[in-house]
Amino acid sequence: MDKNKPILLVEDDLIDAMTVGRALKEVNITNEIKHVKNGEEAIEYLNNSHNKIPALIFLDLNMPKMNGIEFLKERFVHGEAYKHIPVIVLTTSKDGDEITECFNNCIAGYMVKPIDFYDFIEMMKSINSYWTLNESH
Amino acid sequence: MKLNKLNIQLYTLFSFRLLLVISSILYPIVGGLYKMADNTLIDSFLHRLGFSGVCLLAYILTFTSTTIKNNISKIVIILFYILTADILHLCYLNNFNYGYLLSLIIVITAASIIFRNNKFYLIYNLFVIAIISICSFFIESSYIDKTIFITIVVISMIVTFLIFNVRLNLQKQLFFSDKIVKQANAIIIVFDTNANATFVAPQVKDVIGYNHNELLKKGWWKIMLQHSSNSYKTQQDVYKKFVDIQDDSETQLKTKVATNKGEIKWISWKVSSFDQNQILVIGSDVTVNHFQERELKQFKHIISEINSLVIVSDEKNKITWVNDSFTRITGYTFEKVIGKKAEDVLRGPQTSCETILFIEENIRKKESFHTEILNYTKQGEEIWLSINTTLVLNSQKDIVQFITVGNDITESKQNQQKMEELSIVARSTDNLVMIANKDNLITWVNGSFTDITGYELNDAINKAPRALLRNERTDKKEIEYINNQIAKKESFQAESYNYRKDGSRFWMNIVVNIILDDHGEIEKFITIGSDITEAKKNEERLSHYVKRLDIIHDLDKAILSAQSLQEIANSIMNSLLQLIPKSDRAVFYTFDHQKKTAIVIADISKQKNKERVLDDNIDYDDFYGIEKLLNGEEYYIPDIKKVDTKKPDIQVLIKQGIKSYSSHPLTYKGKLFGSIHIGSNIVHPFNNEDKEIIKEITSGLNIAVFQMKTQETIAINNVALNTKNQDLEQLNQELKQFSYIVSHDLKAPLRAIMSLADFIIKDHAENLGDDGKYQLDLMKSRILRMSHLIDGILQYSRLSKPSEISKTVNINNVLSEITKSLLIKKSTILNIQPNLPIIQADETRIQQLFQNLISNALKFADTEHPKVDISCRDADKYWEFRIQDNGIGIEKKHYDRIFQIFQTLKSRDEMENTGIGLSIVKKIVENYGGKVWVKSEIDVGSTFFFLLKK
Repeated sequence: MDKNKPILLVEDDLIDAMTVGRALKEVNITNEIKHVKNGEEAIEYLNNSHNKIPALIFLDLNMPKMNGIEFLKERFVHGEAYKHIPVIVLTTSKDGDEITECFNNCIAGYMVKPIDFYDFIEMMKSINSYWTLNESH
Repeated sequence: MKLNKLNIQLYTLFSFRLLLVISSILYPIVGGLYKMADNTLIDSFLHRLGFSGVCLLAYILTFTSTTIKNNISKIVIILFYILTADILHLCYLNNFNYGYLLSLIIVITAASIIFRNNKFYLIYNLFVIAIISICSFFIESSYIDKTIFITIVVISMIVTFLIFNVRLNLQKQLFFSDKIVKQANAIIIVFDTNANATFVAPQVKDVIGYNHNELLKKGWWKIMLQHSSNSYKTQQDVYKKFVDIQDDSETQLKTKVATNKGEIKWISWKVSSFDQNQILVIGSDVTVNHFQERELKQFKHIISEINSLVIVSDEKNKITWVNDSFTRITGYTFEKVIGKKAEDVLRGPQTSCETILFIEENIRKKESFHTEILNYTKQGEEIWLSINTTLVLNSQKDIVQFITVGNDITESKQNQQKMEELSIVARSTDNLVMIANKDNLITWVNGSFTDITGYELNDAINKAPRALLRNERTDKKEIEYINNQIAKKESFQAESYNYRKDGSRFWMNIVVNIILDDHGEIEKFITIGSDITEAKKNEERLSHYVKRLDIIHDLDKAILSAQSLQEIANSIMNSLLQLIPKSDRAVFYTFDHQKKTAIVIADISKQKNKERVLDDNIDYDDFYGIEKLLNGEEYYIPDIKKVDTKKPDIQVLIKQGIKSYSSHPLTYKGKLFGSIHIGSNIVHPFNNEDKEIIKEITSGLNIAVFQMKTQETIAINNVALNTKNQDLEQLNQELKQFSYIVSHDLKAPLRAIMSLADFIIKDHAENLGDDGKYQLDLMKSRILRMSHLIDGILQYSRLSKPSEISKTVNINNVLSEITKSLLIKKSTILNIQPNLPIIQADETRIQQLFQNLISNALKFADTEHPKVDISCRDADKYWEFRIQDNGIGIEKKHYDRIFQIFQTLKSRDEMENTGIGLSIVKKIVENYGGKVWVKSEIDVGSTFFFLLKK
């Protein structure tokens, strides 16, 4: 993963955002984390040409103003460039139609937010290794 | 001595007398002459004279005494014997003097003339020889003289005897010829070459009336033939036929001859040459024969030609002659049957015994008879013969001949039999049979005719069927049709009303067969008819019924498609008016029991312009008959004027011209909700059938109303159901939101707490100390339990709706997936039955089902040697699965409890358990129409059973 590019975290819950941040730190991902509170803010961030284009987007689905799925659809409206940014959806439950809809809107993968922080770290590790593997090729 | 007839005939009295005279004269003269020649002769004159006197006396007596006249021949013979004796005596006295020998020879010769019979003559001769022989012993003369004398006598005797016999024969022949000529009923004529008749037998007079002397001249044949032919020339020709036969040959010819009275007789001539110059013709009268023969010829010809068979048989009934028709009819030729008995030839197995007995009886009685008999041809075919047998008897009443004339009546017999059969059929059939002649006048009717029409044969005979069975009311078209058919000479069939003798009417189906003769003219009518009144009535009834059914059917359709009671009421009232011929008005009321009012829903009149006559609403108080209707009873007012009431509705109806009406309640669940009223403008309008129709429609309407009410109820229920559905939908939606809330919103804070607890432990481990860390760990475990509970609730709530997915699920695959995903201790023995079934279901649910049960089993299995068995068996329509563990077991009282949600048998601190797993199992199994239960033994293990539909 390009260490110069930031990771965009779209999450309304402060503790969840903290958890993600700590977990990334735990697995030694040192990229700058840009935290926005909802989809709207995320779109704003991306539309702002002063901001660096993120290497990865962590997207929570359940958010006020513009939720995750709305964001996924909205990003296509704002230009081709955003398509290439991999999106990993963070979800509370893997059940339901949400995941299907997310995949329909081009996501790189999804993560069920575990209740145990250590489980979270394990998951982050696997994501990191996945990317590491991808880049080495 | 007896003289026979022949002698009497031969010797006429005249010849005797002559003989007596000669004897009386000659005897004394001869004696005198002897005396004169030889005086020595002893011959007294007195003696001679005496003898002469006796002869004279006899001669005289023949004139006087009838006795002597009658017995003359006897007397002559006696006299002759006396004479002979006298001469013999003289011979003796004169010693056989040769003179007396001469006398003796003369006497003997005379004897040969007198005796016409050999016997008498021989006796006489023996008498003479005997006397001479005796005398010869007493005479004294030489033997030689005696011998010569006797020898001469004997020789003369023999000679006379021979002569006598020759003469006798000649005389006999002559006698017979004469006799024949005289007695034969024939014309015997001898004529010479000059055509002069030299002899005509006298009996010609008997035959042709002419005296034979008249014919003894040249022109005999002209006389005989004068009337037979017109011209001399033809007479000549006929005569030539006689003359031309001059040779020794004989010929026969037949000519007509006229008698002196001008009658014509047929004479058959036999012509032969008599001698060189004479011709003998013998004609016999064959007039009778001729005609008989001609008749016979004709007769035979006729007999041969006629169609009748003729059999002539002899006294023994053996066939002597048959005619051609016999051969034609029976197939037997004359040659085949001659000499045989007709009965042997013709009779066969089916010939009636009675007939045979009848014939035999008649033959026995020698009576001619007539009968009909079944015979057989040569080919064995049955033939019926009508026979007339005549028995020909002779004067002794003996049968001489049988003459049988027979006719082949097979066809007529068969026809007769057929006719008899037909006649039986005609007589016994239930159908009316009527036979009419060419003028269509009845000649015969059968018994059924009388039964059906009431007319006897005598009533019907010589009447036209039309006059008998039709009257002015009969359909004119029908009669026209029948007339046309008769004019066309075509048989036909017709159905029409006819009238009985008593005037009552009946439907008759007639088949009229017109029988034509050989010329194509009508010969007779044969009519076969049957009374179809009942059938016709039934037909009408049926068609009426069908019509009724149609209307009712339409009505039902109308009711079904109707949107409102108003519509139904209108269509029913219209139908009722259609169905009931005498109805004029139909009204439909409904009742408001609270307001005590009848409300008019439909009021339809046949007269279209008629306005609505009743008020829309009528109070019960003004409603006649409301009490009955309320009780569910119908009522019928056949004459409205006879109703004793002041109720205003009746008064209104009377004003409107309604004369009668019928009312019928409509009830629903025993409660009056409406009524139908059918009014008529005449009194007593409705019959039973009408009432039946109304009843039918009423019940139909009841059903319709019931249906309507039911539909209403259903509609109301549907509305309620829809509302409930919507509620449910909303609830579902809420539940979904709730699930969402639970899964996201409830879990998010838990996660946050959890994370914070972790951060605290990580960031402030030194400050917390062991005690603080332990407490935070406890907090974490409770957060985790909370999280599990939330997951469980979520899972369980999702199961509330049966899955719509149904795919082929291979249980084997499902189980292998599960065992891979589960954390299983190495010591665990997990037995899974191979070849588990394949079912139709939602794979996720089946996975959940097995996962819960297996993890449950693993959880409770023995801690040291855990063992779980999974198996399945076929249970009729289900598969029965069992999951068995060797765990602690469950008490029986908990069997139900364990399947309830959140129910656990151990505290959650003791064993981490949400109490949801088995409730999920139960829910899934029940969603698939199955059943789950448990059997368990404490400290041995539990077995969970569940059924899944195949």
